Amino acid sequence: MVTLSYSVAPENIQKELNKIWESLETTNVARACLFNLIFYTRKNNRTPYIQRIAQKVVEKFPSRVIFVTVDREAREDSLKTEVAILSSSKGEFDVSCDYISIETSGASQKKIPFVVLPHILPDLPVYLLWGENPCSEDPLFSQLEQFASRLIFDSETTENLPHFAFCLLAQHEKYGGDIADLNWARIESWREMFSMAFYSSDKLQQIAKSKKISISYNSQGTLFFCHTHIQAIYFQAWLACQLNWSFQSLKKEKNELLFTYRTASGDVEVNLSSAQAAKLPPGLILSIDIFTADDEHFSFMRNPEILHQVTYQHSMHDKCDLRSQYILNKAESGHSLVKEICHRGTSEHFLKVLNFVKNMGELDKC
Amino acid sequence: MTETSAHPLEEPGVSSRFIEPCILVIFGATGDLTARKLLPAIYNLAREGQLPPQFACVGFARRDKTHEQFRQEMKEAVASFSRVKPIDEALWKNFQENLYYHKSEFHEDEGYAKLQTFLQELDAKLGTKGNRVFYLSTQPSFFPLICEKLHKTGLIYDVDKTKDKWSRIIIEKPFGHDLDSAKALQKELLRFLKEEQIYRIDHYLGKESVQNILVFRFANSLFESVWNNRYIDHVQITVAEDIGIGSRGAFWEEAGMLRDIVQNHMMQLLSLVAMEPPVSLAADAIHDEKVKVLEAIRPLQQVDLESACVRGQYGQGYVSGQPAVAYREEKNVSPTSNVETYAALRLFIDNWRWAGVPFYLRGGKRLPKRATEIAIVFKDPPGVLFQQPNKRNEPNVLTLRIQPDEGTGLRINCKVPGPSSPIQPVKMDFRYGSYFGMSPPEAYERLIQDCIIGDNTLFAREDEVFSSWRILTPLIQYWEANKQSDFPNYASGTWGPKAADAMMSRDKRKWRLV
Repeated sequence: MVTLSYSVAPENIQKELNKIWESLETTNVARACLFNLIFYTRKNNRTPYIQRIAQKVVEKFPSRVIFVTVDREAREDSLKTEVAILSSSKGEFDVSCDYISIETSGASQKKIPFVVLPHILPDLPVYLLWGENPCSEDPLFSQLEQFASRLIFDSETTENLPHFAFCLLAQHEKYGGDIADLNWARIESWREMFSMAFYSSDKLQQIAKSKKISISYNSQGTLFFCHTHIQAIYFQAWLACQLNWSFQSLKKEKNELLFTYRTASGDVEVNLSSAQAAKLPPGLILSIDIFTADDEHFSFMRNPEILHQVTYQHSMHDKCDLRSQYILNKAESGHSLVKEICHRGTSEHFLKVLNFVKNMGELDKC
Repeated sequence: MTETSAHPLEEPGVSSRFIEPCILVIFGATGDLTARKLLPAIYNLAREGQLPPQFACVGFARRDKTHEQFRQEMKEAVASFSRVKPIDEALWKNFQENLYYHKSEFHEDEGYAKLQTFLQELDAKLGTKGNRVFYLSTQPSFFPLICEKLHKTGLIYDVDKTKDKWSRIIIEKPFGHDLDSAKALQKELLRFLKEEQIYRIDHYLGKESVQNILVFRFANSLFESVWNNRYIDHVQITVAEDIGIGSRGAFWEEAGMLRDIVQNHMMQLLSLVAMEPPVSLAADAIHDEKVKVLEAIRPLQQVDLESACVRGQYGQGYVSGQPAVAYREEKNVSPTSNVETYAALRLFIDNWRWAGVPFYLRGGKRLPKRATEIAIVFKDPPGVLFQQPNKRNEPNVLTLRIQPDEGTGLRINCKVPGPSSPIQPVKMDFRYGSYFGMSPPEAYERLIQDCIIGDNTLFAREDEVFSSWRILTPLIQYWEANKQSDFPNYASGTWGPKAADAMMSRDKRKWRLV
């Protein structure tokens, strides 16, 4: 996707980009920019993962990407900048956008804002994807956040989810702008599916009478993704918040988390259990089973062969509906993820979930 | 259009719209529209998770065919015409299991009785709950017959009596062939259906770029403030096609440009560009404003019929360097046909906002290129500073490009660098394709989904259709009564008859070079 890439002195970034575009003038390359997208990550094994996110975003929404990497291990005072054109083919022409890479050593980190700020395109939103823990006091973060119209975090970076939630809420309150989290965005398709599956008032009444909910998720982590329980935690917290269930307790067992909530019709237990699915993305919700006080069972099972397909079945003690298929909107990897992290305001539902999670109690570390 | 929801699991402005289980029955399932547009649209809805999990599609047509043959044909159609390629084999395997074919003549009672039994079986098998969408992709003359048979068989439900399931009908254009016939058709349909069950499709309204007209106008304060007769000189709406009538000779001989394009697509574009802001985004609020503006269009007088309306018919010529035959040489077309393949007209909207602003509409077949656009041409600024003797600066033009190359352009005047200060028009351009790096859904995807949901915002309401026919029926009658002696009067691959240019010249204006 990176069609051209040049090392360049920081002061020549714009000049070099202009030169590249001039050289492309007679080709079928269309230059586009919807917003400024600043990525920040430390140089480590997560860097390629963040780069892939950048790539996915600009495939759908071509934007000026400023990708900042800090190598804390490097001792010398170094600052390397590169420019490139990211391009994706759209039939008769290629849609392309600017890519600016800034890589520094820890000692040179202070220079970053001075390289970033002149290259933010005016009149367009600025999205900052902070690929590090927002709770750590990082002067660079406070320098960059003031220019951002939206802050995108990644709860994968935290070892302490309740504290992460606390920091995000504090950030939201202090900063007032929009915030988002990649793991929250990843469960959007499940949330949408539930709102459709339980749309009718009788189904809604049934879910309100839940006694037991089992959620299984893919706990097979990777080098850069080990907090695989977060999406499942977010999902059950969302359900509890939206249905006005009050949190009672959280028990942690070897591979399971057991939440207990008080509802209008008694207590409900929510059990998060891990499963190993090496071929699937880490953290993915695999199935959800809901058992109600009226002996009804709602089952949602992801198809391991067709990832975005979920088989749904509703059964009662004396009969069962036919199985049917829901198609998730591929939020994990595609357009919806981008929409959720870049285009929407701060989700009210997400803020409720954060408020819940911050009081939830600490979980195991990776 | 999204509205705030009280459903606890639905986030306002974010969540998907609820889609109930249903069966879609396509009448005329062996036709071109089904293969090229409808099935690819349904497949893409399935691919994107936009169909209900309990869903089936049944093709209804006269030819002998098995379910399996129909599935295979539809697979080939989807592979050829889907906006997303290649076909997802795993998904298709599941999708095709709920794709069926039902053979029957449209007039055959038995065929409908069997259809009913079949649909009930599918309800039991799939849980589709008796909900039905009937898509009439047939000749318009079959509409009343099919509705009557569906009603007689109990496949159309009485909305007053049946609350636990629904039935809706999508009707392709044209709705009638003039005002009287549209009213007669409506009267006929209302014997079997309520207006709320009728979805008159105009696929232009499903296009993202058409939906963007309202967003552009009412989400940007900059433009709405100059959107009136104080600043706008005139408006040009162009629907140009480079193709001829192809295999639709028989249809075209009865329809012509006015009925096929102007009465529906162009009048819809005009109403969207000229309407007042609706009080909300509710379907009726938008329809009401569209009707108001159509009602405000000044009726065509005799003098207008003679001098402000131009028709044309293409002759031989070249399109994209290839020889093109004349309309009268096309298959199923009379060699002395008087049918127009080009129409241009000037309309005035007699309301506070638009008084005195002409709206020029032109649509034609076998023009040099395919392009649909709305051009808002602004008035000149006072000529005290930068006007040169005998040379006017170009007016500002705001262009809303509907297809292809969807987007928005603004022409402004700019100083050429250097001491002599000549003024040069330059263009600021927004292109959907370059900004949003994704393929937008096809119009039919949106419209079919809207019908399943029960949202008729993007369908034409009866009074919109009547208003539109009311404006054009006098012209249709005038043209039918007065044959055009100089047909064919424009060569294929040119921008239409000279009379259209002359019409603009008389108003001291000219058509834009699209």
